[in-house]
Amino acid sequence: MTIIRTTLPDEPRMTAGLNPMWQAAAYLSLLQAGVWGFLLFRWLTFGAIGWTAAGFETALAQGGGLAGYLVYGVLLVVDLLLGVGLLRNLPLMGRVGLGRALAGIILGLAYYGLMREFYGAAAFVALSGMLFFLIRRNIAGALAYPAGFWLAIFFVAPMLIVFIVSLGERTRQGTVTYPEFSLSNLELYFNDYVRFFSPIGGEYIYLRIFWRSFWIAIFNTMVCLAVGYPFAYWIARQPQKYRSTYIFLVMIPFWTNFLVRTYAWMLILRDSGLINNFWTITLHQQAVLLSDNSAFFAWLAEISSRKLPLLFNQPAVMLGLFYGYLPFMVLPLYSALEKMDWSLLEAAADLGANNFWRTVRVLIPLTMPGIVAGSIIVFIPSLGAYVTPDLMGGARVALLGNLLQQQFMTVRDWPFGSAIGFIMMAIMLAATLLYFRTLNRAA
Amino acid sequence: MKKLPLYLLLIAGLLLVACGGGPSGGPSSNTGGETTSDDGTVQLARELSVYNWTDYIDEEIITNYEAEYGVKIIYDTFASNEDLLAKLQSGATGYDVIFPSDYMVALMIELDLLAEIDLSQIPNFANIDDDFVNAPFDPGNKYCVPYQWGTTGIAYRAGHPFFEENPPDSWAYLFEPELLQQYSSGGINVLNDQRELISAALAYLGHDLNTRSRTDLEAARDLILQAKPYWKTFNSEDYEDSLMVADEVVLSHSWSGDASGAYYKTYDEETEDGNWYFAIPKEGGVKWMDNACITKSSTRHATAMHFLNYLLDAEVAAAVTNYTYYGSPNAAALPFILEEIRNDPSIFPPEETLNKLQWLDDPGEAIFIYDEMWTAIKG
Repeated sequence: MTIIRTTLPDEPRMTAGLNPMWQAAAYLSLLQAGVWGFLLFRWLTFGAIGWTAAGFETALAQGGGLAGYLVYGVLLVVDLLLGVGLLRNLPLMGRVGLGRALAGIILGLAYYGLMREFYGAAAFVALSGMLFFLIRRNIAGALAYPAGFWLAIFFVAPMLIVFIVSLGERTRQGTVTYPEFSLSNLELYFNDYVRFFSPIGGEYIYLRIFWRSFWIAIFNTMVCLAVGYPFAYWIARQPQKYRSTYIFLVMIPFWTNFLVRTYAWMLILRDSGLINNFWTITLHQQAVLLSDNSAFFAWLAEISSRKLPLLFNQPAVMLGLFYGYLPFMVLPLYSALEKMDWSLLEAAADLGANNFWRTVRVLIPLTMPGIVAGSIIVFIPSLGAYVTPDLMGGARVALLGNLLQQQFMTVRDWPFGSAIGFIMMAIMLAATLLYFRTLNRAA
Repeated sequence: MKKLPLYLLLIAGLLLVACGGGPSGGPSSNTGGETTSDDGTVQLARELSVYNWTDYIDEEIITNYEAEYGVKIIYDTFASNEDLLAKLQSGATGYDVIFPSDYMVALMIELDLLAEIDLSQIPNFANIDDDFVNAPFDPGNKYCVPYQWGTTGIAYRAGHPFFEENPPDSWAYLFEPELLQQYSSGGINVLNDQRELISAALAYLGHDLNTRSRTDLEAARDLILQAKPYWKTFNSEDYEDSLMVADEVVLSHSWSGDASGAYYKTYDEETEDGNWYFAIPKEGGVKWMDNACITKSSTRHATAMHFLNYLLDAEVAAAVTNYTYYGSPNAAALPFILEEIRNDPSIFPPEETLNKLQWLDDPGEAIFIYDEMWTAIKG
């Protein structure tokens, strides 16, 4: 019996070469070596070429002329050796790399502590941290690290700073002081939180501003929902080939800056704007011509002789908010409606439900996630709206966003501004929690 | 493996060059690009960062300076004294020359945000009119040099039937409901500026503009709240163009230069008149002065002083006034200022009007009351 040997495809050989994580670490090291080399070159030729000093270079220069050579030179050597060593799979490179990564993190933090130079320190710590996870061959860590680092630096740290400032007290010059620490006067730290809920000169000014912002935000959400839902429904019932075009049209306004669109509305609504010019000139003249013949035109001529108060009032603010946030309502509603299984509606009809009950019992419950998502996306920015009330409301009436701006800029009460920020965050957190609870119930 | 020594050699060589024979490189930490030559004269830095009020200099002055001295000017603008302070206090560095007003200068000196200047390096300081030297907010001009000055009053639309018969001459036109009813449908703007608006109310009530008394300030707040329903906008940034020239309002609480700007922008060759007149109310009001100062954090001190000196040059100062329509504290500049501006009583008011005007000072602890009133007004 002859054995027929089939030729098997080449087995994927376990390459004796490098683990891909280490390979990445090597390239990262070489990249950094390149950066150090470039910086060393800049340092060498600073006077000759006339570079503009970056922040970290000015900071480094405070340590004397030799500092740059030492720092950049040593880092260049270490990173170059590490990179080449890793690529050639030299022994002990794991330990060296780990040491380099940890030293980088410590040095970066120390550098920030000493020099208060943020960008250089952040970049250095970021790269060293990445190196750490690569050398440890921790895939999950290496994948999560960039986002985690980003959140820590740009979300957690600022939040912490704002919270600490909110515990302080504003001085006459607008600087921040903190009450002396003692367990008996802990409530002093929360003065600003208490102030938000207390009467000032007999009136609850801040609560009034909050209440006004709150109901405007709720109202805006309702209007956006009432207009956006039928609109999204209509798009979702269009033939497949047109739908993306319509959604594309909904998104077109985003190509223009919100500020520019707000100013455009102001040009339309103001006393000498498009609508008022039509009203008091074109329409008025026609009405005057016809006023002899009809009581209606006489009445029209009379009312069109005065300009319509369209801008710099509360309705104008509402209009601006509605205009600005409607697309944010339509998009999540559309994505919920698009996934809708329309045969369910037919089934409901077969079972005897009329249009009303089909909508209330089938359509709305099934699209609830879209409704809630859209409402939250509209409600949260409406509550903090700043530009619209400032420009379209003529800055006459403050909303929370304006109060916040006023505390930070005009009045320079940073602790109180920070406290307001945290109170707003608590409210928005509550709204978001509500969202998830509703979602869970729907599921 | 074989290549490794080559790398090492390269690095060793680089380090040798760096530490041994190389030039003493690296930026110098204290001069920020200004180098001192052997004879002790300071070379100007290549760049200078200037932070000024919106629309407050003829851009040509900047390009001229750049062309003449080879210093690139990084120009940025702010809208109010408080914005400027907030920016500096939040740790913004890199601004060299800033332009705070009177009371803000006092506060900034107290907060140690300004660098002392050396007047001997600014020979053009001799051009400044004696009235503007040694102002109370900066005794001896240790920190700042005067840039522009002006007044705050009422701008009103020429040709409005009510104003034809009753030209506004009092703050009553901003605060009295009986008067406001006559023209509020045409629109009224007030400055969105805490100190200015409260001062106007204080002036009308006959109180000291720098009062620290709670009852005075509460009276001012009540007066403002009573008039607020008649006002259309709070705007102190672009009101000249977007509200006055565009005819969105018929009366505005206004700085002198903005009113004059609106006048000249609507100037009609045929009638030889513009649409906007300016009045300093008979009760008096605020006069203010903006100053050019150098920040403490500036690393280009010598260049900044050189720029200040340039701004105080007679022809340059005149060019600033010819552009902004604000008064110049520069006595030597007067001959170069356009005649119609020089003779305009709303820009250079007569002595007896000037005597009724007051500088604003830093209110000290009373700032908390001002803030409270302002929140009540806006809330």
